[in-house]
Amino acid sequence: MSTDSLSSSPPQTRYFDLLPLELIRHIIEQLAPLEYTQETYQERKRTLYSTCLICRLFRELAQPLLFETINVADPEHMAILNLSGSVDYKRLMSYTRNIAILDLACMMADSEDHALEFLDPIPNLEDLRMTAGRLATLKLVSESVSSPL
Amino acid sequence: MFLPQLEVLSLSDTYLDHKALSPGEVPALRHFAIVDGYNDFTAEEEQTLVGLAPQLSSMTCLLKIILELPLAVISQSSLSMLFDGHLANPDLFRRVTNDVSSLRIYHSTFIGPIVESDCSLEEQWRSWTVSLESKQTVLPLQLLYLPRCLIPTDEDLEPEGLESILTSVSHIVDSLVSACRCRDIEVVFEDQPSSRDVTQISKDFRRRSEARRRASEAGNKEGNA
Repeated sequence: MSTDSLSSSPPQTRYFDLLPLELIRHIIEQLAPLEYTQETYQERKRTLYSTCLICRLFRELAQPLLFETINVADPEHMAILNLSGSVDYKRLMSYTRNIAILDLACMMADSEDHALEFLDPIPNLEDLRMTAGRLATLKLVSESVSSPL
Repeated sequence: MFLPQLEVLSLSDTYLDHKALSPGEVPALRHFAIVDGYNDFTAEEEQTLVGLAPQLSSMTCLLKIILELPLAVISQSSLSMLFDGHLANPDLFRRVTNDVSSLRIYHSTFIGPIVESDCSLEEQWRSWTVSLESKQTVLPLQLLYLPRCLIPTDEDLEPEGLESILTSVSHIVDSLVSACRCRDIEVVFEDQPSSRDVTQISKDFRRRSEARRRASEAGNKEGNA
């Protein structure tokens, strides 16, 4: 096969380019519905993360869903709330609508900060769930969390 | 902390911080649930609840703290209160019936603390039925939420025994529903939370409380006009 015949072949059709954006968004939402359980949360995250890796368009559509709901269940997860400052972080956190912070007791320390203060950079948060701990357990560690997820 | 969009908040065994939860910090908050292993509120927590009450449409809390709630919260006309009573503890409901207009009987471990009981499931359901059938009981109760799944999923039952218990419990719950119908109590069967990261606030109660608040506000406007 000559080079000419290769260059003259029609460009490969990307079928998703033929679909309206709304429809693609709807398909992605069906892949990872908002109604999930504790068991399916990780699966939902994995699906959305994989979807983000398909192409730029899919990342643009799936990333807000990936950050829409966050479960914070250990200090490593808490790090995601501690990354304030970067422009990218602020953009991602603006997608977040729902946060569940579980087992606050395992994240407590002598920090003077209050758990709720970590939610400051999440301006669009609509639904918050927090479990465990009286006054002391609401104080979270900020310095012990060194690396993001 | 300023969370301008926060509309739904549920706290479990978490201290109510007055500064963090002042109306100025959470201006859009409408639905609030608090599950607390303790039986009382500190003075500061009471202050937090009283401060939030006027802006809330619904509040969900355990039946056991009903007598500890500040009067300013209970008497807030625009606020709908939903109390959670454990299936194994109908006695508690009998003691506070006069103050409860909306009740949810729960067995999910993700709503509130589990109450240990020596009684069988049938006996527990029958006890509720007896309470609601009793003509001697004065019941301002208007709305009753029951779990769609009548038997707790973590109940250790043999598959053979499960069917007969389910049949038996279903009959008892039918009687309970009939008793409620006779007293004009609306019964709603609803799925109860199956994990910790799902809110314990009832979707149906949330919808009703919003409608009630809108109606109340519309009435107020008409009254002022």
